[in-house]
Amino acid sequence: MTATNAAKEPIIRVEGLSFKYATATEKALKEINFTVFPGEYVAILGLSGAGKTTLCLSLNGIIPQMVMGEKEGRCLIKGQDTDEVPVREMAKTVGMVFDNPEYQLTQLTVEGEVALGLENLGIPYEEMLTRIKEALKVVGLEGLEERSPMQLSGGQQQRLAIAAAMAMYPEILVLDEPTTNLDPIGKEEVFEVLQRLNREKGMTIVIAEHEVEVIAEYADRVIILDRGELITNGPPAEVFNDVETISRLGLRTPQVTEFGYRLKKKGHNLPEQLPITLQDAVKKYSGVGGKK
Amino acid sequence: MNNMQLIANYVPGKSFFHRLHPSTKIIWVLGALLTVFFIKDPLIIFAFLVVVLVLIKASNTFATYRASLMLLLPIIFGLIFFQIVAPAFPKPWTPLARLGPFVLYNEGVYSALVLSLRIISVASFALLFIMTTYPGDLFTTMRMWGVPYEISFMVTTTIQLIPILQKEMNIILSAQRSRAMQASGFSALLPSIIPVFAGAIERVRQMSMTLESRAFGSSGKKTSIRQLKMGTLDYTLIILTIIALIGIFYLLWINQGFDRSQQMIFPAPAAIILFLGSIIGFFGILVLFARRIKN
Ligand SMILES: Nc1ncnc2c1ncn2[C@@H]1O[C@H](COP(=O)(O)OP(=O)(O)OP(=O)(O)O)[C@@H](O)[C@H]1O
Ligand SMILES: [Mg+2]
Repeated sequence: MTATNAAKEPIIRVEGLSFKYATATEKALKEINFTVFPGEYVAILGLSGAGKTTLCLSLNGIIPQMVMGEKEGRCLIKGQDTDEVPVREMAKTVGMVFDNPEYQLTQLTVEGEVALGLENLGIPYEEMLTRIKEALKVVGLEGLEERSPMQLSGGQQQRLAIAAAMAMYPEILVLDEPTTNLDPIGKEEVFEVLQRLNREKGMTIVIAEHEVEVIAEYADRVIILDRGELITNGPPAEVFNDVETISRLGLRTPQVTEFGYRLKKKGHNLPEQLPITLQDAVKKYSGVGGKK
Repeated sequence: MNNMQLIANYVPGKSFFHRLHPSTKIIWVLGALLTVFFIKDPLIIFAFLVVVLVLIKASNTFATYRASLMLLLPIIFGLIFFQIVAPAFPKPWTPLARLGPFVLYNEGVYSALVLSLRIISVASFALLFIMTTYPGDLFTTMRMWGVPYEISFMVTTTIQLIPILQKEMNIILSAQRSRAMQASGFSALLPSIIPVFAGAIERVRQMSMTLESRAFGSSGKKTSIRQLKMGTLDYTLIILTIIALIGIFYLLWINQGFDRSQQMIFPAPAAIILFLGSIIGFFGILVLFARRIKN
């Protein structure tokens, strides 16, 4: 957490949040506490079933408003309780990209899909056209405006869902594993787009993701969930350096970190803080093997 | 696998009907429903049906319409069958012929014709409306009329769900076939209905989550990418429609709904043909369904 954040009000405040699905016997979230400040890029990491989706859905009020279950604790978005503000109103602040690409497309054309959110926000016609064009260009779907979303590939559908949420310029954009159907390059592209939105528009990003390399590269902060509990919450450099905790949870650290960790164990002289990205690693590891 | 198109949904196009404002079309559908309900002369209803068919043809929606009609026909044939042997008419009934255990009545033929023509013509007109109206426009119009959010949402969602359900059905049928289940013929339909409905509920759930997450139904001014406006044509047509409806109802009133049940005497062979036709038609459609599912 940087010094500037201390002055700002958190945009997301989760306090003692627990949730149990109506049909489940165990809680999917247990006493979760964390805050997110405006302009942060936060990744949620965890094994399958850890509660990432449940947490994402809590951030705009779908949980508890549209999903049956027992909720405890509070989730405040800009000071407003998600219990009290209808999801459709909260949507003006929180954009949401769900994990299943096909199910979340509801319109007859690609253009109509992106337009839907803008229409509901009352964006004027001319600006709507500009935003649709921009959003489709950013995700690489330009030229497919008239296509039916049902006739897109899984990866294209995910891009469309991202474009539709993004075009609304929400202050907070929540994405639940939005790149599972994309190839590595497509994945990088999406993360870069998100970074641009984050840097240039100051959009707060919360993204559930299991690929640690991209998290290490792009996120300001990582939250690790394990069986509904929040285990760690901190900058990627710190979190991924705690290799023991990460592997105890059955997760991976970035390969460059793992590499350094193993060398260190063998007695090599490496920096206290191991690098977490490739670029960083090239800098820190050069000289380890000695130059020819 | 070829698409099994069973029920109508929006057919993109630029025909006269496509360009009309949904309000105009809704008024027409309601007007037609009321009128046809009160007319008792099968010939007039038949004439109306012909007009509707011409309109459907002119809107380039006939192929979709024909497919949807398939679903309605078994009901119609069933109706004809039961009306002929047990008319929804005050007794005494005039017997025309006897076929084994069945007595065919003149009143039965008459009311079978009236009822089935009523249903077919109104359903056709409603289908024309659905096929030529963009679902989003329908929602906008309903909200414009002050229909509550939930009801507008339900209606538009149901219409939009139809193509999704068809897709789901196809997936499930081909999955069953690949597991070497008997996925041909009518019997294949039954085990797939439960997963399709379970799937449908899940779809609706996800769909409403998605829509709400896009601020659908939220407060405040709305805009539309489809420039939906009531044109001069729409206003003119609505006024003409209302005038016409008043005229029609006046005519219906003074002519007792053109009731011709006493004058129309059907020859016995006609009754027999209609009766047997309804039975053959009913089973014929089922066989046709079964064959469609097969390939
Ligand atoms: N609709 C539901 N009804 C009952 N239990 C559920 C439901 N959805 C999720 N759960 C349970 O809640 C827990 C958390 O699930 P969640 O979907 O949040 O995990 P996740 O971290 O998103 O996993 P994944 O990486 O597989 O998407 C799991 O134990 C899961 O079985
Ligand atoms: Mg999930």
